[in-house]
Amino acid sequence: MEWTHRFRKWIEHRSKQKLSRRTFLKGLFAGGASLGVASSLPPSPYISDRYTWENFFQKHYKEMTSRDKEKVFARIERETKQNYKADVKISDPPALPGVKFVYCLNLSACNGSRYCVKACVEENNQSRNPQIQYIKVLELDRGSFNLEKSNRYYEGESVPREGKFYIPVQCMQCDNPPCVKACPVQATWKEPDGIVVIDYDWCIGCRYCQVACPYEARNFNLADPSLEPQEVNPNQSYLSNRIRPRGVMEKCTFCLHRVRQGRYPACLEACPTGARKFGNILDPESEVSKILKAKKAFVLKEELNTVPSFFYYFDD
Amino acid sequence: MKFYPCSACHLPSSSLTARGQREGNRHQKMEFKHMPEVKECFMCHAHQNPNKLVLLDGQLISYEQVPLLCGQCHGLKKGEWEKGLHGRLEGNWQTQKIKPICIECHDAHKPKFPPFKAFPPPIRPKLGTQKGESKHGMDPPLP
Repeated sequence: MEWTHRFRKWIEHRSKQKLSRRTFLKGLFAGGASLGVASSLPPSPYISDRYTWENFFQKHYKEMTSRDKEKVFARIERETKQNYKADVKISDPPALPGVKFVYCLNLSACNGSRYCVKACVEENNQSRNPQIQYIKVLELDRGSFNLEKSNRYYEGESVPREGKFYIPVQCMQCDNPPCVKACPVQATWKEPDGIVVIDYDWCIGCRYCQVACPYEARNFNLADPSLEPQEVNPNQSYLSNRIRPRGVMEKCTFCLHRVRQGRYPACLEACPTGARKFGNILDPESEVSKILKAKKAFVLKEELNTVPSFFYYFDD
Repeated sequence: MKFYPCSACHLPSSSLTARGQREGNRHQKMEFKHMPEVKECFMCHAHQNPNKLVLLDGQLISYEQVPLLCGQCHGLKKGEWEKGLHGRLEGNWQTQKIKPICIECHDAHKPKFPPFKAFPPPIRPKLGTQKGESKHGMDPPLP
């Protein structure tokens, strides 16, 4: 917002008196209102079209000062209360130093129960209608590994079904992420601890990243997320599980708000067979380091050189 | 582990207490499907002390030390469990990892996981709409 600073200096020079920021903004508001920008349009029923001044001029997350962040979080909490009738708390845990998160999944133990999918949906405040799910569980015949012939719509009366095995797929938090390269506005980036995050207020909703991702990990909010007030998880974070506006992308963030405080992601805690393992690969004592040393772990679509952080392995 | 402590109904050397005789056989629904060759309950359960388990060399252990018992045959899995590679982990990945013992996830008499009822599949996306139907499910009212 450099032009506003220069504009203010020019007004100070003209009026020969020091302007406080408040009076300056009041003048801008008055000017804006007199042009009839905000008030001449008919009131929009879509939640996200009700732009306010501060929403429009909000900075990218990486450029925000802590004062900006406080105001932004307060605005989000207010809007969530207004639109979804739920009291929430937006936090902003920083990346822990010396940590790179890696997820390992034991395909011999996964029985396709989809408990992880349900826990993820509840933890991350995903839209129920239209339905968004970060984790997709694919069912494949034993002995084959053709992902294009996988079935993600299998009925779950009694799993594991005879002769099948199950692969849950979610965002791989790649080290060479094609979605980050595809974003035209840099609304998505890779954090130092390995998680690829999205600034939902900076995303313009072009869906280039959704096309670029080879694992179908990115989801788009086609409509305002619909959530009941009792379904809203109140422990939210700016970059991970707050309720997204209409028209932005979202994806698995390894439950950033949990893992940066030392807890496990929701999918791991929900898995009934203990197939999921999570930890810091830079720590040689963690399970994921031991798994990657001891087991034959592989990744999906390795030939695309995305270098995922999500490994699969079988028990011998 | 619903009926713990076992000594409420059982006395040493296979006799029952008064309460045990009153309540009858409460273990009717128990299925034993662990080792088809083994029909000897007292290979794992201590004969003289109903509240404890017994190892192959005769040592008595409590129920909290059951990995020692299971590890007699399943040593490789027990080694993996100790390293955190087998089974669920609870707590924090950073500080305190809580590993549940064998019988917290597995039923000791029928340890193989039973078939689950999975959650319903995702909604298939509909391509195209019927006449008059909204595509996104949340259209605003017409002015």
